[in-house]
Amino acid sequence: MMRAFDRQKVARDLRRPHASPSLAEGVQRSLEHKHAAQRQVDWQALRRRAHAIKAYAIANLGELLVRFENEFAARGGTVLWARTGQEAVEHVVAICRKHAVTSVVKGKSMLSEELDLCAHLQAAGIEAVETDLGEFIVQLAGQRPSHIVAPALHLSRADVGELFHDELGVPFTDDPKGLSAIARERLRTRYLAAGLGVTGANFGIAETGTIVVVENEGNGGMSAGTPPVHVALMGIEKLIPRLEDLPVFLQLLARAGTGQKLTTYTHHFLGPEPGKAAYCIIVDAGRTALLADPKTRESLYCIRCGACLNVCPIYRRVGGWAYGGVYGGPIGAAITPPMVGIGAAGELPFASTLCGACREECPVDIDLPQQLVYLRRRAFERPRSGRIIESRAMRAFAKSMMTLGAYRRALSIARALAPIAERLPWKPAWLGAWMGRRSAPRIAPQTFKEWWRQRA
Amino acid sequence: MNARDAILAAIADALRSPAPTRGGASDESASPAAEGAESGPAGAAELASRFRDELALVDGETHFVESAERLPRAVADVVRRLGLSAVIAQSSARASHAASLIDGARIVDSATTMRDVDSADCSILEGRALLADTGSAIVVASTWAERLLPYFPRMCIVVADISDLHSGMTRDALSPFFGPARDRERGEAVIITGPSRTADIEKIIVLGAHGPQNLVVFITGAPGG
Amino acid sequence: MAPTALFVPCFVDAFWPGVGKAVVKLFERLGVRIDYPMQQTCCGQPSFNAGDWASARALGKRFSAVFAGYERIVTPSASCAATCRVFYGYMDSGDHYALVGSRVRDLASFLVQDLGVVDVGARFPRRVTYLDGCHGRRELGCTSAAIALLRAVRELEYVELPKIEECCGFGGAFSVKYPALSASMGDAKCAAALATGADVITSGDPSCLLHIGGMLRHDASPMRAMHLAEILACA
Repeated sequence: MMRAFDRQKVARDLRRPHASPSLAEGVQRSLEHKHAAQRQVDWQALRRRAHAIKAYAIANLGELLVRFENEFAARGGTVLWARTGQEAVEHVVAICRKHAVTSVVKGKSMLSEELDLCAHLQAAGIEAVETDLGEFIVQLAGQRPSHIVAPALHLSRADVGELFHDELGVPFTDDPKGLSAIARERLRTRYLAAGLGVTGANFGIAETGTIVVVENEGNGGMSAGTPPVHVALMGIEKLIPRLEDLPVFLQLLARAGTGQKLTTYTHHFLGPEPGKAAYCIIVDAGRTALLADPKTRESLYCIRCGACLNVCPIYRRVGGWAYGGVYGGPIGAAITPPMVGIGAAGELPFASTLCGACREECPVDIDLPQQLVYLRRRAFERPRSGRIIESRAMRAFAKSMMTLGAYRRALSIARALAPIAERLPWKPAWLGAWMGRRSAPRIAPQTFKEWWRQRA
Repeated sequence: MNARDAILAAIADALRSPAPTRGGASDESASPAAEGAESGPAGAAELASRFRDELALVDGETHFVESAERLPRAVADVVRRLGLSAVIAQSSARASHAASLIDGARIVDSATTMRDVDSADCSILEGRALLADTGSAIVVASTWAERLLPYFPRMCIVVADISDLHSGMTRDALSPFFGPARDRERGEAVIITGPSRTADIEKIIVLGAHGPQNLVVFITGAPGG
Repeated sequence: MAPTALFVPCFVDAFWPGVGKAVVKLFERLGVRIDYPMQQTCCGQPSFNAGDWASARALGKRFSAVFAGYERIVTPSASCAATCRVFYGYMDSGDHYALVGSRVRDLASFLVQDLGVVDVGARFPRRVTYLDGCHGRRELGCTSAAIALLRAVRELEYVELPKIEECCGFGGAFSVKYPALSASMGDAKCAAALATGADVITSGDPSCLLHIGGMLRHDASPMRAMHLAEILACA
C-alpha cells in the first residue's frame, strides 16, 4: 500500500542538491519566526514535559488505545482498526459504501498520504478532493507533497498560476490572494456535495476518546463538519493520556512548526451530532515495528511539526521527495528504514552529517541523531551488495588502528600511494569528487609521533 | 485474529522490552501533570489590551463595549458599516442578544438549512473564554449548523465578556474546551485565533483561505471601553 | 595536578601534526605537564559513524587501555572528544571504556574549565573568525570557552561568523559519499567566512578545518585555516 520504496532513485536524488529556491527561502522564514515565538514561553521546560508525556503514553499504549476506543464509542462514534495501510483504505471504502458516499473531502493528513488514500478512493469510483490549499495544488499537479507542513513549498507562485490556468481553466494570475480565492470557490462546492469528510488527528485523548486537529485554513473543520460522516485517521502513536496533557503540546506544536503561537483553529471533535456519524480508524502501518525496537521507540514521540525539516541543511538542499517515502528530513530518515525495511532504506541515515540541529529544534526533544546512528549500525550489520566494499574498507581501516605497527604500515603505504593517486588519469568517483573541490590533504613529511619520538 | 487483537498483541509484545531511559527520566508510572501557561497577576485592563494586541498580530480586530446592553447596537453598527446582510448567530443567549438589532439576522434552530449557512456573509458566535496571550476565543458548538458557523461566512464575530478573559491556557480558561468532552457532549469545541489563513504559496500569508477573512471580537464590560 | 595525557587523533598525527605541536608548545608555556602515550592511534569515530560498532568498540577498548591511569586526556579535536565522552556511552555495554572516555576533554574546555585559564598569554594580530564544529557545539557545549579564549588573545580582532550554527558539511565519510551536498554546505560556510573579512578562520575541530581549508585553498582564497591551538601557541 505504501508506494514502493525506490532505493536507486533515493540514492540518485540524495546526491543532487536541486531543491527549488523557494523551498530554501520558505524554510528560512519559518526559522526566524519560530525562535521569536519560542522566547515567550519556557521552551525547554515544555519540551522536557512533552517528552515525558509521550514516553508515558507510548509505554502504556495498549491500555490507552483501549480506553480511547471505549470513550470514542461512548460518545456515539465507531472505532475501526487497521494493521496495514491497505486495511485502512478498505475501511474507508466500506464506510463510503455503507453511507452511499460518492464524494469525499479530505483535510491535511500525512497518514492519508501514507495510504495514498485519494488515489485509492478514485480507483474505487469515489471522488476524493484535497481541501488543504497546498495539498489541493499538489493534487492538481499530480505530485507528492514535499514538506510535512507546507506541501507545495517547492512551487513558486508562477508555477501555481500556470497550474490553475492549465487545470482549472482560469485566467493566469500569480497573485497568491487571487489564487487562494479561486481555490476557495472551487472547494466550497465540494464541501457541500461531499458525503464524507476525512481528517487526520494531531492528538487523540485517551481520557475522553476525543480528537484534536490543528490547522490554519479552516478546511479541517469544514471537512469534518460539513458532510454527514466524519472519518478521522489516527496513527497508534498519536494518543496522549489526558486532557490536561494537551496544553503542553498546543504551546509547542505551532511554535516549532511555523513559529505561530497557535494555529488559527484548534478543533476538539467531541462526537457526532444527531443525524451524523463519526469514525476513527486506528492505524498501525509499520508503527509497531518502530515500537518493537526499544532503540527506535523514541521516534514515535514525533508530533509531525516539521521543525527538523526546516533546520536540516540536507533537507533544504534535496527537498522532501529525495527521501523516497512520505516523510522527509531527519524524522523521515529515522522512521522510514524501520517501516519499509533496513535493506531498502538503509542509506537514509547516512545522508546526514549528524550535526544535531534537528535534535535542538525538536519540540519533543527526540534525539534524532542517536536514532540515525543506531540505524547506521543496523545497516552496517546487514550489508547489501553495494555496501560490501565499504564494509571491508571500514574493517581494514579499524585493523590498521589496532596496533602501532599496523598504523605505521598503513601510513607508509599511504605515503607511497599519494603522489600516484594525484596523477591518476582515472579516479574512483568518490576520490575524484573529493579532489575536485578541495586541495587534497597530504600526509605530513613528519608525523606528530615521529616528531615526538625524535624530540625525547 | 482481527486487526484490533493483532495490533494490541503486537504492542504488548513490543513493550516487553523496556526502552532505554534517558538520564533523569521522570517516573513512568504516572503521567506527569501538565500545567497551563503561567498566569501572573494582571488587571483586567492589562489583559484586555494584551488580548487586543495579540489578536491584531494575527489580523483580527477587538472592540470594547462598555456594557452588555450596548452590545447589540455596537455589533449592528459594524455589520452595517461593512455592508453585511446575511447574518447567522448561534442560539445561545449571548449570541442571539448580540444579533438582536440586525435586520434579517437568523438564529440557528432546527429549521436552519445548509443553504442558510452557506449563504451567510457573517456569523455571530459566543466566546466562552478568551485567552489574552494568543488573542484566542473558545467557541462551543453542539449542533451541525453551529459547527459550521466559525468557518463558512467571510466575517466571523465573537462576543464575550471581560469576565471570560484569561491570561492564557490555564485550567479555568480551558474549562469550556475540556468540559464538553468530559460531559460527553457532542459536536465541537474550537479555539479560534484570528481569521482563516494560509501560507501555502511561497509562504505568503493570505487571509480567508476557506472561511472567514475577518474576525472581530467584541468584549463587554471592558474597562475604558 | 595529576599528569594529563595528550590525545592526538590519527588524522591530526598524519595530516596536520602542527596542531599537536602547537598544543605541546602551549602547555609548555602554561607550565602544564602532559604525557603522550605513544601507543595511541584512533578513538574509533570513523567506525562509529559508519555503523561499524564492532570495530568502534574494539578501538574504544584499546583507547581506554592506552589512556588508563590518566585522570584527564586533552585532545585538539572536539569531534573526537565527543566520540569519547558521548558516543562511547551509546555503545558501551559494560566494558567500561565509556568511563575512560568521559575523562577526555576538548582543548578549549580543558583550558577554560579544568585549568581555569582564559588568557593563555597569546598574541595574534589578525582578524579571526571561528567555525563552531557541530560536535563541539552540540555534544560538548564548548563554543563559549573557545570564543572566550580567542577574545583574550592580544591584538586579535574576533568577528563572529554569520549562521555560525550551520554545519560546514564535512561529516566524515559524508563528504565522500555525498560530495555535492558536502561542497554545497562548504560553499555556504566559505561564503559566510569571507563575508567577515577575516584573515583567518579557526576552530577546535581540525576535521572541519581540513574540509573548509581545502576548499578555500582550492579557490585560491587569501583566508587561511588555522587551528585554535596554533593561534593560542603564538606569543
